[in-house]
Amino acid sequence: MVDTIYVEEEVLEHPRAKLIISKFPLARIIEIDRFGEVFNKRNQNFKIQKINPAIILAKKYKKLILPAPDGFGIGGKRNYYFSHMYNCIYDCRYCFLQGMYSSANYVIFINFEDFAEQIIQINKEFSKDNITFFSGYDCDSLALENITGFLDYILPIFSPYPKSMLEVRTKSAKLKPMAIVSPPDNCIIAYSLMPEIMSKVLDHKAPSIERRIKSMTDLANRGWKIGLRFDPLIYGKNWKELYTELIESISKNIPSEAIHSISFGPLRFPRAMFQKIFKLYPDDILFTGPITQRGSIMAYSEEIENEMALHCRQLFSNFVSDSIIFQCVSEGSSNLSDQV
Amino acid sequence: MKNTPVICWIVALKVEAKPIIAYFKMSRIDHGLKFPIFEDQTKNNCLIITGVGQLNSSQATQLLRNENKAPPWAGFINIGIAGHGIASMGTLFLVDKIRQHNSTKYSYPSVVFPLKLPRSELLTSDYPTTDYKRDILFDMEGYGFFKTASRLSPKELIILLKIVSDGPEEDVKNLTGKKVSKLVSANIGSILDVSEKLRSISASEARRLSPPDICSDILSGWHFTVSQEHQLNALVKRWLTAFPNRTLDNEIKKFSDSKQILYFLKSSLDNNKVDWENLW
Repeated sequence: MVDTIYVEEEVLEHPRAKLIISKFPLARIIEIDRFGEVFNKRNQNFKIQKINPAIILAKKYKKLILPAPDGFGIGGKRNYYFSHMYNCIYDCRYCFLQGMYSSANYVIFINFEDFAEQIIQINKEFSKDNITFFSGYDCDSLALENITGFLDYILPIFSPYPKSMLEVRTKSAKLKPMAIVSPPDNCIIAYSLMPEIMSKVLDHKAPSIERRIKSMTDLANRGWKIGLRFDPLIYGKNWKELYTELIESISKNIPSEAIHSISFGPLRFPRAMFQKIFKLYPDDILFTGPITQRGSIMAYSEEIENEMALHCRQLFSNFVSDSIIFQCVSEGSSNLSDQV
Repeated sequence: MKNTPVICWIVALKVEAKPIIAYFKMSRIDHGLKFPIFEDQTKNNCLIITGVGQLNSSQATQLLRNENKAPPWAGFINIGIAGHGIASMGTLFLVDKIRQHNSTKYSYPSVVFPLKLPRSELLTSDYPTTDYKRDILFDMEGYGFFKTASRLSPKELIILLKIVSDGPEEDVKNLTGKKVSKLVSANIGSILDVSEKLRSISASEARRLSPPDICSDILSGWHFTVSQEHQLNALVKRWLTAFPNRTLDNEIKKFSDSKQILYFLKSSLDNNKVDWENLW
C-alpha cells in the first residue's frame, strides 16, 4: 500500500490527481514544486526505494510522444512511443528501468489530455500512413490501470484513426478496462513472456506466466488482438525445451488468429546501464550467465544469440505466419527491431 | 571497516543522547575530538553529540565518516527535541520535508519502510523559534544534518526523528535536561523500532557494497592491480552465486598469477548454463 504521495503544486487541484489521491485515504500528501525535486536525485538508491515506493503526481511538459528509433516497429510505417508513467510496480531483474533512474517511485503524469492532443496531431499529420504508438516504455502500461485509468482514457482517442495502432505492453493479469469495452481493431495488448521457471526467478512481483496466458486467452476470446513479446530471450540449461513448452502452452490456449504479432530479442544492456544494474544486484542469478561485453553493449555471445533467435523464430513460425514475426537486434540501442 | 550494518546517531544534546547511550551500553571513544563520540561493543551503533546548530550538526556528521565510523552503507538517525505549532508535548514525528529558515528550497527525506509514526515538515533555524504559527516542527539542526548525511549515504538511509518539546502551550524556557531525557526515554520503543528497520537495510547494503570475504584472502596471496581488484570483486560475486556448492579457494590454488585467476573466473561464468529448474 502506497503511504506517500508527492503532488506537484500545479496539479494539486486537477480532478485526476484528486481521484488518484482519494484511492489512498491513509497516504500522506506532500506538496512539491516539480517532480525532479524528489525523483532521480543524486544519491538516491533505486533498490532501497523499491521497498516502499511512493507515488508522484506530476505534469509532463515536453517529449510526451517520441519517435521510436529507426527500425523499431511491428510493421507500421511510422513508430512512436510514450509513457504516462515512469517506473513499474514489478521488479524484473533484466528491466532497464533499474539502470535508468536512481529512484523507484512511480511518477504518474496526469495530463493525459496533452498526450491525446499530440497523438491526434500526429495522426492528422500522417493520416495516410500506418502508425504504431507504443505505450509502456518507461512503465507497465496496465499494472496501475486501476489507479490511473490511462487506457480507459486513451483508447477512445484512437477510434477515429483506423490506420493508427496502439500497442499496450504489459505483464499485468488485470483485465480492466478491456473486459468492459468492445475491442477496437487498432489496439494490441502485448504481453511480455518467458518460460515460467525463468519468470519465477526473474520477474519479481509480476503475475505468473500461467496467469498472463489466462488473461491473454480471456482477451483473445473477447476479440482483442494479442501481441506476444519474448524480449529478452533468456539463456540457460534446457532453454530450447523451456521455450518450446511455453509456445506449446500459448498455442493450446490462444488461437493463432488472435495473435497480431510476435516479437523477440536478445538480452542486452548498454554497458553503463548494465554496470549500474549489476552494482545494485551483484548476486542476482541473471548475472551468473554468460553475459559479456560486445562493443558498447553487454549481452550473451553472438553464437548464443543467433542460436536462440533461430530456434525461437522456428517455434513461432509453427504457430503464426512469418509476416507477423519481428526480431529485435542488439546493435547499438537496447530496443532496435526489424522484421524477420 | 567491517562489513556489518552501522547506525550513526546524530544528537545535539547530551541529555537527548543519554537514553540511547544507556540502551546500547555505549562508551565514549573519541580522544579529544571536537565532538564526543560513543560506540557500543558491537561497533554497530555509534553516537555523536553535536551541540546546537546546523553547522555543528553538519560538521559532526562529517566527522563520523572521517573517523571511519560511517561506511557508505551506514544508516543515519538524527534524533532530538523540536517545537511544534499544534502537536502535544512528547509526540514523536518522522520528518519527510525539510526547509532551512530564509530559504524556499525543500529537501525530502525518503520514507523507505512503512511506519506508524505521525509525519511532519521541519523548519530548521539558526536561532530558537517561538513563533509556533504553523503546523510544522521547528529545530536548529535537521537541515544541516540532512544536507551532509545525504552526501555520505543514500538518502534512503537517513532518518530524522523529532520529539515535540515546546509549543504555544509549552514554553521552551521551562525545559530542563531531565525533562528532555524523559521525552526521549518515553519514545525509546518507537525509536528503536525505526533503528532496527534501518539496520536491516544497512545490513543488506553492507553485503551489496562489500567484496566477498574470500577476496581479501585472494588479494593477500596474489598480486592484483587496482583495476584487476575491481574485476576480481565483481567476478567473485558472480562466481559464488553461480556455483554455491563449489569451493573457490580450492579451485584457484593451482594458479600462479592474477591473470590466471581472472581468466578462470570469467571462463567459468562464460560457460555457465543457469539451471533455472533447480532454482526455486
